[in-house]
Amino acid sequence: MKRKNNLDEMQEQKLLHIESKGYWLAFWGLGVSLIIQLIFYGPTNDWRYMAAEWIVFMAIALYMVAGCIKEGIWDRKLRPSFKDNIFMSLVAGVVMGVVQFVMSYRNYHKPVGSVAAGIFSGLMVMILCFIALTISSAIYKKRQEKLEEESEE
Amino acid sequence: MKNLKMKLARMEQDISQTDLAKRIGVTRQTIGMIESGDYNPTLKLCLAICKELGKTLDELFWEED
Repeated sequence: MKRKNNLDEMQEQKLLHIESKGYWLAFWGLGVSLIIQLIFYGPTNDWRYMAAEWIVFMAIALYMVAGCIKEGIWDRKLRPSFKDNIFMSLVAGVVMGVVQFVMSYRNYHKPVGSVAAGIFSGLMVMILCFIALTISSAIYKKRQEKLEEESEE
Repeated sequence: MKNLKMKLARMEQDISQTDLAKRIGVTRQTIGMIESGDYNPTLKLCLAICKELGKTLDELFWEED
């Protein structure tokens, strides 16, 4: 049985706004929590200790990507272009490079090796991120074209 | 921007915010926020308000430059 909505449209919009902020807080909170765990416990512990958080994080991310592409939405500020994809991949690569460097240096105390590990990890993440963004933007563009055609009929 | 036209139309008919809210099925807070310009109602709600106050959309929601 469908329960009656107790909220009017203004309250509904306010609630959606609060839920949206809560969602991003949870998403980035989970991201930061994963990074902190990687830095402090990463190489010394069994990686499975953070598997559940990682699965939830990825499930949320995939849900957002799939939901946005289905509705023909990319981003408020960024465009699905080569330039923006490179830029975002670079940001992801730098973040992961720094995390890898800190994690490596903290555990092995070898500056040169840590820098190398950071550069290698950052580069790998950048490449993977760019591939993922290129594939996503191609799917998004196809979906956008389909939605445009549908709305013209 | 405050919606004084809506407020005036409501007061002309001697309807309180609470009464108007009850008639169209929203909270008093929502009516208050529309009148004070803190909330942009949907077209559906605008139409419900217009019908209840016996006014057109232009009369209540059109903003002159």
